[in-house]
Amino acid sequence: MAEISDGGGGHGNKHGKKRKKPGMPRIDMTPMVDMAFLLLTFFVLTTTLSKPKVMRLSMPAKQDKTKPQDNLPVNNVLTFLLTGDDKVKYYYNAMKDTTVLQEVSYANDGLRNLLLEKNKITIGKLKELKGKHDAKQLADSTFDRMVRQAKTEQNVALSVIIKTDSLASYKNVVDLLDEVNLAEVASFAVQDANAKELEKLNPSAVSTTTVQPNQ
Amino acid sequence: MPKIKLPRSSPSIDMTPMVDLAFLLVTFFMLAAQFRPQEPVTVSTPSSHSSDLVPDKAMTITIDTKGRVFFDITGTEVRKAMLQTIADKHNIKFTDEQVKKFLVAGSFGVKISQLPKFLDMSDGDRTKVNAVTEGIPLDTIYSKSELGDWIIAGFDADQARRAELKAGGTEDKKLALVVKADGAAKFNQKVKVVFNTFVERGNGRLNRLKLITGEEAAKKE
Repeated sequence: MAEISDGGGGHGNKHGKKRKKPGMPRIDMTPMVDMAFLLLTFFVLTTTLSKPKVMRLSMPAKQDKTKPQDNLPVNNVLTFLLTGDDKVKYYYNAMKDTTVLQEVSYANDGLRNLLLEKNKITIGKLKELKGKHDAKQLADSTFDRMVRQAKTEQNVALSVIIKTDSLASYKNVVDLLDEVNLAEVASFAVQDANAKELEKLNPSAVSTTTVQPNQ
Repeated sequence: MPKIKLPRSSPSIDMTPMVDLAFLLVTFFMLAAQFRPQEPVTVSTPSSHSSDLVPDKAMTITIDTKGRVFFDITGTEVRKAMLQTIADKHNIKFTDEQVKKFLVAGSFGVKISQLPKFLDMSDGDRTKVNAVTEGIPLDTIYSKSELGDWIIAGFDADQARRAELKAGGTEDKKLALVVKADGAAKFNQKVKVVFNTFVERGNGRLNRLKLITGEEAAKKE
């Protein structure tokens, strides 16, 4: 059995200690235990507990350069303009001269609420379908088809267009895509910002010399 | 008064259960640990609520903070065929030794013209090169993009390999197109160009990408 070996030299035998039965040698396990804990520490420290995940992104098909880009349906479309400093601005439906860009935060009560609010009809429909599916009133294939239909219904389901200026980081785009996925928005696209939008984003940049960003 | 004599030796403790436990934990962590090939650059990915796992068969484009692009693809057969295509297209000869090294090289980020030299290097020198390299060149004229060449060559090599396996009676998984970019990378500069390279060069075959993200708390209902 493992025992803490006493450092008392010859004194040990004198007092109280029973002699081990023959055939059962005492093995000092301390080095082995040291080793075991060393390994344990190593593996605990090197194991990453949060495994990376992947997010699906379907890019829109190749854009036809001859056609203007902005001929998308303009009913229930949110266009987000991502800028540096982790800011996001948006406008709803078509861009007019009078359109004022509104700012929203990446926090849950900002972006998420906005998307859920604009897409609430579709989300309501999806909930209803899910309820029916859970109650076994819908077959799996029918359910899938109806979900797809609800998500892509023209002018009812929300569409999202994501545009970035030169300062927006990849993290901003992924955060926004994540919120878009959470809000069950099926049709979204990543596009270049056009001149009009850039002007709205940064009115001073047009009249004066181009404003130099920090980086 | 006679003193009660206490035994001088330390009390004996049975360490067996502790040792058992320690080894149990060691075994658990050893089996749970995943050893990944060394990555050329450290990338801190943004997080999302997605719950899809990282596919094990994948073409992975890594983009670091500075926007440098690295390329990797799984499967030795695929890598071999892909390198052959690239060598033919760019008129570069690879020796057998270089090809062998390429198969196990993992992720790389050098120009095609520098690749033979890069493969000749020792592991230590490659790490040094990875720290200063400018990555695989991109181009917004997508037909000229070296990254585009790699993507197409890799994808075609995988298609051919799968057809070959199918003829042999086994079904292989589809190649996943994975982009692993650093959260701090500027989207417009490189990431978007990489996305567009997939779209433009793939002619609609390479539109479904998978973005690697860290895990965030599950969605609240």
